[in-house]
Amino acid sequence: MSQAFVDVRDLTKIYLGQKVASVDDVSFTLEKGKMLALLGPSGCGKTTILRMIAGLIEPSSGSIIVDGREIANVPVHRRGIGMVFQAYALFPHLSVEQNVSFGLEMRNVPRAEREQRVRQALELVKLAHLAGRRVTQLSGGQQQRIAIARSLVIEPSILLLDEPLSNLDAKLRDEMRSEIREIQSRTGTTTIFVTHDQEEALSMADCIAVMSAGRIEQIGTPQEIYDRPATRFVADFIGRGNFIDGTVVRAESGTAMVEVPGLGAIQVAHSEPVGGKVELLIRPHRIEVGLNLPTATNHFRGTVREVVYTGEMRSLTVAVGNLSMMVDSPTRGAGEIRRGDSVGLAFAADDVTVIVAKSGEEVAR
Amino acid sequence: MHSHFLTRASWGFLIFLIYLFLLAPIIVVVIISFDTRPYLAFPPEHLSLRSYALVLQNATFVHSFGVSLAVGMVVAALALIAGTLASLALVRHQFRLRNAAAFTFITPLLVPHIVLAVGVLLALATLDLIDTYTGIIVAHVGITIPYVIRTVSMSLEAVDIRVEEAARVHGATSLTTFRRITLPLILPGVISGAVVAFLISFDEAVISLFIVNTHVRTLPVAIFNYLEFKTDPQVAALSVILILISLILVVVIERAIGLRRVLR
Amino acid sequence: MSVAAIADQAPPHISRSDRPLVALLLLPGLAAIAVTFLLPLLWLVRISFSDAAPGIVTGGSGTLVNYVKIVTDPFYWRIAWNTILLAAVVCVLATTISYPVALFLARTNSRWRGVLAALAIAPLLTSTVVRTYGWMVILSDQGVINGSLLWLGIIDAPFRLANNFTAAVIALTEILMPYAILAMLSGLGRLNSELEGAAALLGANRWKIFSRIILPLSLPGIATGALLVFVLCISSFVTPRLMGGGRVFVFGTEIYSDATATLDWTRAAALSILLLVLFSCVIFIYQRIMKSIEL
Repeated sequence: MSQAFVDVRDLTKIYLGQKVASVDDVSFTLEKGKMLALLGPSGCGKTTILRMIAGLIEPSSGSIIVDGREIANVPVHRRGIGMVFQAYALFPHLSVEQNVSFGLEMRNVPRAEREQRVRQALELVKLAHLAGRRVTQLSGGQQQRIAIARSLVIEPSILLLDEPLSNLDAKLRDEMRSEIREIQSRTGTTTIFVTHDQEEALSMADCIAVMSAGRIEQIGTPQEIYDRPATRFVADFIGRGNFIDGTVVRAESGTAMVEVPGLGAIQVAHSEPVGGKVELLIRPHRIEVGLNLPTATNHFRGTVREVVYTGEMRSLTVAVGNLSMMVDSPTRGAGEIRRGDSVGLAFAADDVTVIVAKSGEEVAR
Repeated sequence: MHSHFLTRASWGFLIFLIYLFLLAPIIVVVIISFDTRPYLAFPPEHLSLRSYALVLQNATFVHSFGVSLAVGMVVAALALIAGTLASLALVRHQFRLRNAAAFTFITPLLVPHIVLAVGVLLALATLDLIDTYTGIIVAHVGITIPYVIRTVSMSLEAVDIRVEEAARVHGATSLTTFRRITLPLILPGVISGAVVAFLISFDEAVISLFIVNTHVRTLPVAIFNYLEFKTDPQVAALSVILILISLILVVVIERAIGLRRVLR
Repeated sequence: MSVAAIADQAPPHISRSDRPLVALLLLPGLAAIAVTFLLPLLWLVRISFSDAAPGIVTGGSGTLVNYVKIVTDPFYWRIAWNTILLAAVVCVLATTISYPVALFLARTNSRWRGVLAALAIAPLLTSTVVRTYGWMVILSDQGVINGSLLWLGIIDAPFRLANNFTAAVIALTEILMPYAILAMLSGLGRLNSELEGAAALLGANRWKIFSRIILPLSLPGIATGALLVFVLCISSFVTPRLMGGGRVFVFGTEIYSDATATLDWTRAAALSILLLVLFSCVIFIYQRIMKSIEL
């Protein structure tokens, strides 16, 4: 295990006069060169954490260690941290070039070196040709790239991004997503970004911390977060899912049967204590659907209530027993399915995630 | 950390001192108004309401208060009507000379009042309207219309034109639409405009000093003349009354539409 | 100025253009403006070129004699100098003192922000006469300042603080500050706390943040505030007259006595036109400066 480059321990922030903490005893680590996403709904405390790392907000308690150095007491202008603000915060009275070189001027970097580094930074974001422009004349996407160049040119220990894609329109968003990723891996800068968009987090980050009400619900790779959500909150927040309650009726090593009232028995790929109440999650795209009964460990018959075409995919709402399940099925070659059709649903034991408890408690298997 | 607190404290103290300077005359006038000595002195000897009583008995002051009040209300009414109509034209209609018209309505704001005062004096002289109610009302209406247009236009712009269109689609005539739909919605702007027009006319000294004196005497003129020859706490008491009136009206404006946007 | 902004409004406020209606709507307002503004200005120009007898507007012929008399009289050059000097001093003082307040109001997050802003600006809606009176009380021989100093035993005889140039300066500075504060506040709208945060993260300490970010961005507002104070000052007359004790002669006081005491209307008109010319020159210079700052 490589040593953590960023080590946040028991970080807490309680605002004056508030009873509830905005950030409640949060701890996490980040390896050098990796990108972490703080993901959660607005008000969950993710931006507060970012600002505490930047030094713009003072923590109530806890420590922030970057590259072995405790920075919680270091004044903002000495932290050597780069940050791209949500509205970019470019200096309106300075040109592109002057904006980017600002940080270097503050560090008294000699002119020749400054000019060279500024040029390199602008080339990195592919905007070298706009060096002399006023920043107020740039488009949103260009402004963001200048903001990135401005933060990176000082070679910061870490780079912070506050909702980097939320101000951009859809097409620009896709473009910037891959660009940010590319810049980050090319420079190898350890990066933390904040977002409320799970797609953004899943596609850009090496590691995601899902947050709710000031606490981290789960940290893991995008794959882990998606496939094995630890709590109902995480499962609900990331992707869509079918949530089913049931009771464990039989268990052997590595497998168990869960009885779901109104549906039947579902086999899961983990052992659970018999008699325990569990919540199951089955992602819509992991369920196979067909007019004939497909073969698989778990299979049921149901009636199609609704079909929504989205081009590449069909989203079906299927009534199975007493329950209503969402199924995503690719349209490719699968033949027509219409409302009222009787269909077979199938999924493997592996396709089921067991969420044992409500948010904030045990990790799922 | 400590030096941070110290700089913030001294910063705060500086701001406090500046505010003190800014509000000094008003504060002093309030304090003096409770004095009884017939000359300007500080600190006040006894505190009493005698000056207020004297003011209320002072025929000149009471009369000119009434004059200012009457003039102010007439000016406000006239400026309101003219200004609201003009705003309707400027905001709701597109026509070729719109820019020129809008500019024309700002011009009174661009010229110093004293230059205007002499001009108005001369103009009124030719019409033989010096020292008349008509003269001063006409003069004040001109300088208050731009403010009315500003406040009413702000309110008008905030009203979505589609609401008016919906009214018309449902059968309302233009007049009814204005009366039942637009007017209630722009009421904040209208009220602020009227109040601002009144206040400006009520407090107006410069132009008034040029064009009225004996027959028509507004309050600022009366006070000015009084101050040229003597000073005593009566003026202070009167001033406090005026300040209170302005304050109340300012609160009305602030509640209706926000003070900063009116003045700039 | 937002009234000018009306002219730039694009749809959705536009409805069908209806010439007669528009003309009707604009008529009362335009008529009022014509009578109270355009007409007077025309008369002003006309009379300034006339040699009519005092107190009369008719019977004169077109002549430059008024202007000649003013321009060749050193007394009026002295007046011009007084006016500009007074305005310059007040301008510098008012701008310097107003800036901290404007900065404070623009950056503070306090709950009292609205109240404090109103407090700084509301004095504008009270009469100049009242505020000037307040200063007379403060600065007079038995006034607040002298009274307190005498009472405390710091001085034996009162300072001559009233009825002179200094008094006019102090009073005018305070009276005109709200205008400067307003102008600066509008100009500071571009400043937001993110900019300061960004600068700090890039390594700027508090002084650098002020000198490199806050001050440059405040300049347009400061310039506008300074302009406002200056032009209002050169045109002022109530305060110089009351505070100056008969010793302060500026354009305003001269025009007033010419127009109301000696009834020398032709000269008053000529002086007013000259004042207007001075006024326009200042604005012209201001616009040139603003263009060169070019933001």
